[in-house]
Amino acid sequence: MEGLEIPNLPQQNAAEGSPAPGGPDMSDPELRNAISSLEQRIENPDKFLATELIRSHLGERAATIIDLLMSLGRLSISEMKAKTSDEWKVRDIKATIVSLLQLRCVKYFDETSFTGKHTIYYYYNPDGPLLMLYSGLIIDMINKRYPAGTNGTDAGEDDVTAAQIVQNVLTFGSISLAEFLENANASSDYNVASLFVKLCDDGFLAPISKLNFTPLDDLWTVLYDKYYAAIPRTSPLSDLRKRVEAKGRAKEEFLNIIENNNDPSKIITTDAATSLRTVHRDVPLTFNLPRFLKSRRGRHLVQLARFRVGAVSAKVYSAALKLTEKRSVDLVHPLTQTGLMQDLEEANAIRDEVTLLEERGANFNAMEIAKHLSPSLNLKDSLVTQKRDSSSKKRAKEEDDDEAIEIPGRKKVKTKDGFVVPNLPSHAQAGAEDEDEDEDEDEEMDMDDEEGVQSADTINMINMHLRLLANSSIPFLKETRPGVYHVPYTTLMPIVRSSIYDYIIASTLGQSAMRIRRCIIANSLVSEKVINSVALMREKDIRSTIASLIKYNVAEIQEVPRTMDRSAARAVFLFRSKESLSYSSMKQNLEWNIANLLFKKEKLKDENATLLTKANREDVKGNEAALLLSSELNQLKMVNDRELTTYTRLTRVLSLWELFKFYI
Amino acid sequence: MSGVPSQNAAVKLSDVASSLHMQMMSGGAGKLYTQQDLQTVTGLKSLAELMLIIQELVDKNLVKLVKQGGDLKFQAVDTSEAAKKSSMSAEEALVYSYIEASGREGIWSKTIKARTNLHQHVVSKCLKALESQRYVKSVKSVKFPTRKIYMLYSLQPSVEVTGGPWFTEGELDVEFINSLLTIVWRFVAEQTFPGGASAPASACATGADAAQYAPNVRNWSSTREILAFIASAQVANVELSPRDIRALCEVLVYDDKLERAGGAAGAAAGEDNYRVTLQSLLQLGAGGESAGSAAQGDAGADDSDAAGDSDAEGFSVYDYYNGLPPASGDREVVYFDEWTL
Repeated sequence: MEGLEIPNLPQQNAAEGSPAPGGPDMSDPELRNAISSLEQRIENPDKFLATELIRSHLGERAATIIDLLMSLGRLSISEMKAKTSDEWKVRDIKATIVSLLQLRCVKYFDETSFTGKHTIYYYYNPDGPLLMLYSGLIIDMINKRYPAGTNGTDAGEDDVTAAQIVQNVLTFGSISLAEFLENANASSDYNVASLFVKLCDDGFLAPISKLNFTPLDDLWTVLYDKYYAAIPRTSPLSDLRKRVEAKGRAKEEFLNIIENNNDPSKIITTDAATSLRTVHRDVPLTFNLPRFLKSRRGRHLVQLARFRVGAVSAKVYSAALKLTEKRSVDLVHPLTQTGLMQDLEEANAIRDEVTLLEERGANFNAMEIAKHLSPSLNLKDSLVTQKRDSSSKKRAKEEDDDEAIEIPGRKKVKTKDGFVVPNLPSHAQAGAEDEDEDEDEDEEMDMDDEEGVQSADTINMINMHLRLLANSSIPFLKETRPGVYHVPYTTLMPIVRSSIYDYIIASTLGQSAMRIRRCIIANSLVSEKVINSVALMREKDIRSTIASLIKYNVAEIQEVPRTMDRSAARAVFLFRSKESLSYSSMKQNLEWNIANLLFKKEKLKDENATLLTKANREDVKGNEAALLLSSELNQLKMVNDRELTTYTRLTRVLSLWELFKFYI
Repeated sequence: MSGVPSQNAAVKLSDVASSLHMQMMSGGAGKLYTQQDLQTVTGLKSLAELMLIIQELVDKNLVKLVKQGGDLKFQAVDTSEAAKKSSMSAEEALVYSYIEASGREGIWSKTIKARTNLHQHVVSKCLKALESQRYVKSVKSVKFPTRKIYMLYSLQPSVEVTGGPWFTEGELDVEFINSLLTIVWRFVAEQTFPGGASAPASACATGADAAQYAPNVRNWSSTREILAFIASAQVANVELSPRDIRALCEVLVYDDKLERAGGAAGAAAGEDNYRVTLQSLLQLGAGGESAGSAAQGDAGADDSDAAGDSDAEGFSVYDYYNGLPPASGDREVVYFDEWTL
């Protein structure tokens, strides 16, 4: 039996799945599952993941519909009816679609054909499954950002927390303040309202509108067609000019529609009774996934900074990212979803626009960060401004390198008034003029009270950390103006992705695989000999490593025939790496693994269904030790442990997968 | 030079010829003489007389004819060399002359065959004879490991043939390279971080964050400095050039252990500057760090402001070396290759 369940044995399963007399019955649901998982393995992992998620949240029927929509594109109800089994009635399909719509798993579009017939087409909407996938992480993040009891007023034990609100939003798809208040027994409505305001202010909750259910590319097509048709046929413009004009106008309206939809001022009002800010009671609010993904993006950047620059700098960076998170540019520019990216010029224009937005949008300086840094963070000893003696002595021998050497006597100047500043910027002595100004400031500050000096010192340290981040080989920050920085996401994210990729490769295929991959990328097209001489590796090591690199789409082979008959024996083989391919293959791989984890978790639950129903019975709950057999207890513990490990692994794989999925 | 008269006597030269040879030799072994040069050296006006003398020397293998840019030139040959040649058979001498001409690059046995138009058997017989008399030797070429390359016994193979300092007897000396990589990395690490290579590991053990150099400190090393260090430490028994050091550094860059640094300043000086990546340092301190990061995690949980720092903690693939191998009974392990199977 065990062999059947392990999806690693395709041949065995396939053989046993054949309808041989006396062989396993295909109606056996377990076997059918194993085989359907096999098919999904071959098909696209995207679908595997979505159907697994929908199946575990909404059941088999919803999963089938999503499967249909993903395989066939958009479908109308009658088309779905034709594709599903005869047992399904139109009413069943409609009922399923309602719940799918509610959880944002389906979009729809009303299309009028030439004959004037209206048909509503349904599309797969990835938002819903993603929210399901991320729900745990979302609630965790909200919990950390809005901890219970920090709401200003003294909160009771059973008071509503932000996480509860978000949890409800995720469960129901969308919820309005009035609905929430009706069902929650909160001690104070104002507390809840203020939490809603906070969440809306920070962009985590957004009003749900028709736009959330409209496929953007169809919306674009409608707008474009409208403006194209609006240009009179008799117009003397060339067709190209007409198209450009229509495109320009459509873009304007498209962006307007999206901007209006995201406008938070529409939902936040002032309560007439208390003149406190509140949200409209009846506007249904939903969770804003892109906003959450921004916080995940910040997390990746901080992680990278921690391993590239340093732990303290990473903390400063984390504060900076949190500070600008709300204002930062969106992950995905709405126009990229319209098919305009096909046009190289448009793609470039969109990219330029995003870069410009980055520069203009979220700027910050050290002062702002200082307010948001955790007070427990000790910046003082985090930087050393002088080289250690041994090395500076060594350096002193070299006459031409003396600009980096500090003059030892000058440090005493800093320790006047008995106030010892251990690591004050001796770099000011290096000659940079703005640093000299800083120093003057410090000295003036010395006259003030101790606290003033402390804060000036902190800001100075923060500035240095920011400089470290900006000067690092990876441009974590860019200096917009002296002292003012912004985060160049468009240049950063590809670096983050490729470094994550490198380390996935290093952790799975070994350090040498990473060396060869980076070598191939650095030299773009290489032969084995080149790798041998540049990466200094033995040829037999190279060959075995490259074989696995090729297997996982990290590198590609290019054959250069040397004879007319293109005989393989005489041909030269070169290696190159096409990153987009490697990444998409990695994305699919990780995606499949996430889906497989979910699949295994569901199977585990199925296997132990009787035990779990027993354990979940009202009378058993809480009295497990008394009412369950010891073997059952052990089994229960095993099931729980395995579910926990599944979720741990899932979260980890998810944190890798999202880089290849979203931050492109 | 003392042996010359007796050898000259052995090959029985006329006095004029022997004095001309001595004069030519005194000008240096590789010096080329034109016809006019020889006329001035000997003081002979008549070309016919000169020709007789030269012919005598050529016959005795004491003068070689060299064609340089369309001009015929003469080169004196050492008497011992001449003795060698005169002891050879005609074929051997022919083969020898080609090997000699190839210099430090060496010549492939097939090329010898093609150039001399001799039969394969003859060539291999000649080569065998020459090798046994230690006139020539066969070397292994790194570029063409399957080819038999011959060169004069007294010569050192060129860099192209040996593959440079990284090769020992035609094989890539991985151990030597790896130890050099470690040395280079450690040296650069001393420059990059205040505590040197052991800093983050020790800092993690105490639970504190490692200190870094401020942005104004020049915390990178140039290839020149690394070379000077390696030369002074006398770790390599072969001579290394700045190019070799750069190659080593590039390998470390591919390993993500070094990164290029110094930007404009380094570029202006025309040399490459490198800095150790923090990642590699943390990786080195992996053993001590796992305990340290756990302690950090605990501290974060106690801290009420943990929200600010929580992003930096938690799972990260950069931490992979700290991971535990999965237990054998674990059925939820995620395999990298499961999908492609």
